[in-house]
Amino acid sequence: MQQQIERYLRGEMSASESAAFKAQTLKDPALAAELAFQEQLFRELGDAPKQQFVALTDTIADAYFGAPPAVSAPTAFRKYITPVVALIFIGGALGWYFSQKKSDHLLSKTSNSTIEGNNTGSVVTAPSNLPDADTKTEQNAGTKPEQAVDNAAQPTAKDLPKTSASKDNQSVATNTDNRPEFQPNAHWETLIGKKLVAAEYDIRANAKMAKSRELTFKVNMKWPEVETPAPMVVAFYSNSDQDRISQTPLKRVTLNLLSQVAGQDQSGKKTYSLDYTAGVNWKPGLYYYVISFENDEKPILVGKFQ
Amino acid sequence: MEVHHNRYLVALKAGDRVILQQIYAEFSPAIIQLVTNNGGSRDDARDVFQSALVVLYERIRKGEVFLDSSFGNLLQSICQKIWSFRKRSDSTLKAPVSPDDLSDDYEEDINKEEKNQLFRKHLKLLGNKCQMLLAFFFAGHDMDIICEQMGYEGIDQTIKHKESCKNKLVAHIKGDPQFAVLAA
Repeated sequence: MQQQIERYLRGEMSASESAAFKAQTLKDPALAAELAFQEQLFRELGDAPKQQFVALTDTIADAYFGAPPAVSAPTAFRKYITPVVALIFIGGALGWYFSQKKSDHLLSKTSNSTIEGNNTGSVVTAPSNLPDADTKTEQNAGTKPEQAVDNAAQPTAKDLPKTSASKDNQSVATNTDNRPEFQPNAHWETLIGKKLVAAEYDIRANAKMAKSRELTFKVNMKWPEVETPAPMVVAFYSNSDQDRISQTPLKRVTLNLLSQVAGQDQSGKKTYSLDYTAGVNWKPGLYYYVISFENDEKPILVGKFQ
Repeated sequence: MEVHHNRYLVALKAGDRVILQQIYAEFSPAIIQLVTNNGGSRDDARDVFQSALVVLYERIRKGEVFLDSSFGNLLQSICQKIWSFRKRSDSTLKAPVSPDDLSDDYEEDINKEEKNQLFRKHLKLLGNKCQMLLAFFFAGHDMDIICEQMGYEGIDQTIKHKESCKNKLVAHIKGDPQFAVLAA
């Protein structure tokens, strides 16, 4: 039954199969009820924009209601296991006491705080890590006045052939902190240090966190003289997969590079240099920055900082 | 029905973090008071407030919000309705008088959102990998894409993991006493 329902909800049935299944639900109330339940489940948990909205309200709510308590495994598990373990512990402690007799160090702790499920119940998005900033697109302030970008003449990301990996300055201190907010994200980690643009283009970036938790972000690029970089954005992500999958960056900034022309190198390539200071308070954690062309999700550079 | 051009409603639809923070700053204290004065906790108030915002968000997406009073009044009315709704399942909770000025079809939205909140709550209890896998699955991605994204060895393994995660989720949801109340 479950398989049929899933196939139906995922649109994997042919028209005739689908019609037959639907007719079946009209005759079978249990099937109809299960279908209704699964349909709502699919609709809710498959609704990415809504889940993004919910995740956003979760992070904001922490500031006004306090972080929610860690949720443990289903109550039934705790209900039965907790007293059993407590009894074992008490029994063991008493046994030890009577065997010692003269000892003063009776173990009286009967705490069952260790009984938890296999996770903390926290949302993958790690809300406690979020800096206190909005995620609206911002124009980079830089130090020079912005200029209009003529997009018609710009090469797009699609024009750039992929190249093999090459070096990039993505240094970050090796993290030995085991807290969830510091765990590397496997997807982003595979892209760090890889050159994701063609050989004739060079882009490097560096993100540095000051003690004040203010982030300074630098981008240096070399572009063939005849070309002008298309508008780019840098998106800052937490280390969570949910944020990555749902495309919910903590901050997204448009890099207005045209105003940041630094000069030309010896080979005649135009060089661009841009400094951006994110005036927000980044909470401790591991973060990733992803540079891409505007309106193109494909990253051209990925780095990390903490 | 038309969408009133209220900046809060616009911000809800756009997921504007700055305005959402303002909404929380301005309107959450009243809801904390409403809920805690009627037998609830701060966490209850948090859930109620979020549910109300989500209900409004869903309505705005469908273009079905009409403000004939202030945004704050509407939000408060929905929160009251949600708290009254929850009171039905827990006799230890007191509920304020259910507002008369809220249209009846909000009740259906609230019922649906209460179930959705239950789904989300139990999804959070799963491990990170399960959450990620199910996010892909429910969004309708093909199993080969999911296999690639999750780094599994093959489709069979992917299906096996999916079934394990989904069965856990469904069992937890259906085992929650609140589910039976909402299904009634």
